[in-house]
Amino acid sequence: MKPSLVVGGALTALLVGMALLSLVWTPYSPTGIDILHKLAPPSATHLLGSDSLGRDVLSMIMAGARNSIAVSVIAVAVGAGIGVPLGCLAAAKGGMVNEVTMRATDLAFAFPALLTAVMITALAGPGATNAMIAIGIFNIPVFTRVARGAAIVIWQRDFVMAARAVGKTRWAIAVGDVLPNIAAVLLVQMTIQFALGIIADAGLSYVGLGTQPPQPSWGRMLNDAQTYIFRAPLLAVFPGAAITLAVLGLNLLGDGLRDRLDPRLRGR
Amino acid sequence: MRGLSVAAALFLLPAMAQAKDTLSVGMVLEPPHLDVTAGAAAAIREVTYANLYEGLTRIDEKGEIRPGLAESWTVSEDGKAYTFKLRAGVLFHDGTPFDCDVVKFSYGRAAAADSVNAQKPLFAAIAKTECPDARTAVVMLSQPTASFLFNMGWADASMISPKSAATNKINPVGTGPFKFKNWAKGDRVELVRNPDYWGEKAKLSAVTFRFIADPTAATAAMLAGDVDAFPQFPAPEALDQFKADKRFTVNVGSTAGKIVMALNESRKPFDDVRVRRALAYAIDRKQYIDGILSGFGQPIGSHYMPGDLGYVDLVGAYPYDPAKARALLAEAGIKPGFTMTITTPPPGYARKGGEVIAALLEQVGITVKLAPMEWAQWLDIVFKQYNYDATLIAHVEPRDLGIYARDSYYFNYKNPEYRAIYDKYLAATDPAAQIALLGQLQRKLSDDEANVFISTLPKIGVWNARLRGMWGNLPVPSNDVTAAHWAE
Repeated sequence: MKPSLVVGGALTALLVGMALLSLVWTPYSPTGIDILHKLAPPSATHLLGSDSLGRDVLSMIMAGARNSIAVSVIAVAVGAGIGVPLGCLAAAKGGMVNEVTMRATDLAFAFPALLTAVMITALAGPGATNAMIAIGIFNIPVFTRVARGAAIVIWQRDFVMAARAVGKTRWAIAVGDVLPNIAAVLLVQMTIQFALGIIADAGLSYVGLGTQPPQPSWGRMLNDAQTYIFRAPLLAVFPGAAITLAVLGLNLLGDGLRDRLDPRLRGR
Repeated sequence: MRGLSVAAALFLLPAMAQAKDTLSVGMVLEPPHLDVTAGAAAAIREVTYANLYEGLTRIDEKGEIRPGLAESWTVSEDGKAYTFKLRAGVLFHDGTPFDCDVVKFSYGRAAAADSVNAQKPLFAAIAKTECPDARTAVVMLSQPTASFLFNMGWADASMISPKSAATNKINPVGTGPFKFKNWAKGDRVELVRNPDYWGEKAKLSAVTFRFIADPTAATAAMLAGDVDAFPQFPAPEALDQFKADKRFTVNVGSTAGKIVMALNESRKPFDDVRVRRALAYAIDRKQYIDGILSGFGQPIGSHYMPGDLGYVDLVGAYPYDPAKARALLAEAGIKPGFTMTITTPPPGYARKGGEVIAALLEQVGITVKLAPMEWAQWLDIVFKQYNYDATLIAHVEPRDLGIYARDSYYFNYKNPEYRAIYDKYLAATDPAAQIALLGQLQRKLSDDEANVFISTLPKIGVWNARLRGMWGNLPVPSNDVTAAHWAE
């Protein structure tokens, strides 16, 4: 097995495990303040120290992972849920449908994704739900493009030709033959979009438009930490490291999966 | 060539040695406009009070009443007629002379039915203004008003020229020692010395107010010398760094600011005094002050500043007691898991403070949703439309017990008993009786816990160590730089 798959898989498992664990247990309440012990350095009581209100940093990072994953998963689900059918439709129908869908994705790509997400959350009000929707909207054209590109290749394969020759409907072919064959490509794209979603969520939270306090989020932890950058630099290091490792893990996982699932790359 | 450059250097030297006479002042918030008689935003006052606009009286650094555009005054025996002797030779920045007609116009405009003055009730007692001659103004009150001279020192009672009244929002014209030069929206307001000022001219030739909302950027701007002074410094956590640095002076003083969690009493369950008391028991003022104000605030028990005339210490009325809070909530029928929304305007005492309040209320079974808002949004939704549950806010107006006696105000506290005491206080002329009534007012507010009274708002200022004449305290919202200058 490729090292990228192992490392990526391990980091992703750690991220997801931490998020799941935070549902049932964190060392302290991630929202519980303890002003007397604020800005404590890492120690046996607070493994990663405490923040400016005395909240336990490890607990906040765990709960932050949960919030971050929730936003990214839903954003990916929104993107794939709408983008993949659109892409498959474009590939299956061709002609005008294909043209219109592709120009629409061109249009969507013309907007800078994160700035538009900022605009959407600013208009609809800050909060995790709106962040999910805003990030999700920008996943749609990505999945449309990827699904269409991969599906067009499959549509020209001999077994599809054969299926059409025996009278199978386009709809049945798209669902029964094409979709299973592009699933691997989509899975890889999902991990990449998942990683981008975590960055986008952190960015939105950093500017105050993502997950709202008192719910912890990595982006806001970074924002809070910058005021204390000289007194307690570790406060910025831990959420920063969490974001980096999560994104690195997901990207490596995506890379590893692609190598493994793509027959042309297999064995290299 | 060399001769030339030496000559140039010699020529430049005197200019370089000349003392600095401009000042750059950092502020967190940008004013929405610059007409101090038409808006509640403290930022308007922080740019214009005493610098640009002046009233008949003015309030000094210690909160004392000083003569402003009136050089002296007398009060009639019944306390209903104030005769102001106006200063001679006062001109507005546009050249309009200041006289009694201006007084009549300014007070009339503030008290008018369509007045947009943020402190309109201050002018309610004025029956009429008479002008026996151009330099004498007689203000007749419908009833004696104890705090009248103090009130007329508020920024809201500034003298406005009839000619410029309509355009003051963008091009403010006053009588002050500085006049308006330029406003780069989103960045700065520039004032320059008024060469025709009636009194002692300002020592500084120009003052720039720069708007830096972000605490980190404010710290960086101070350290880099981009701003010379930050009279209300937004990052108390960075103070140690400035204290250790000889280039800076750190000043911790007082303001008239009272941080309260205002409750919308027209909404259930905040109309129930047991709920309000429970909230007061649930909030640990010490944790809030240590966590949010770096320990610099003083807890308050009512809507009144420690040290003000007639102050009564009611801090102990609702000590931190989560068990009692839970019991009171249960008695009022509030089930655990009850959810309330606290709107938070941008300053740290609210935005960051909200997280502390949320954590404390969670301890007594209340789930808090925090709704951050920009100022414009807050003024509209909370202050104008009364559309909120609770909000964290500092009331920076001095001695403003009167806001609880208003017919309509954003927290909807309507208590006839309180209003009766307040009316008695307004009518009282005997200082001892006034003090007694001030005490009664505070007790009534505390007993009703009209809002949850949390802490005083400290004034934490950082400025260049060579800068002199900055205000140490802020009895009224202002950045009075009329006496500011640089040490040799």
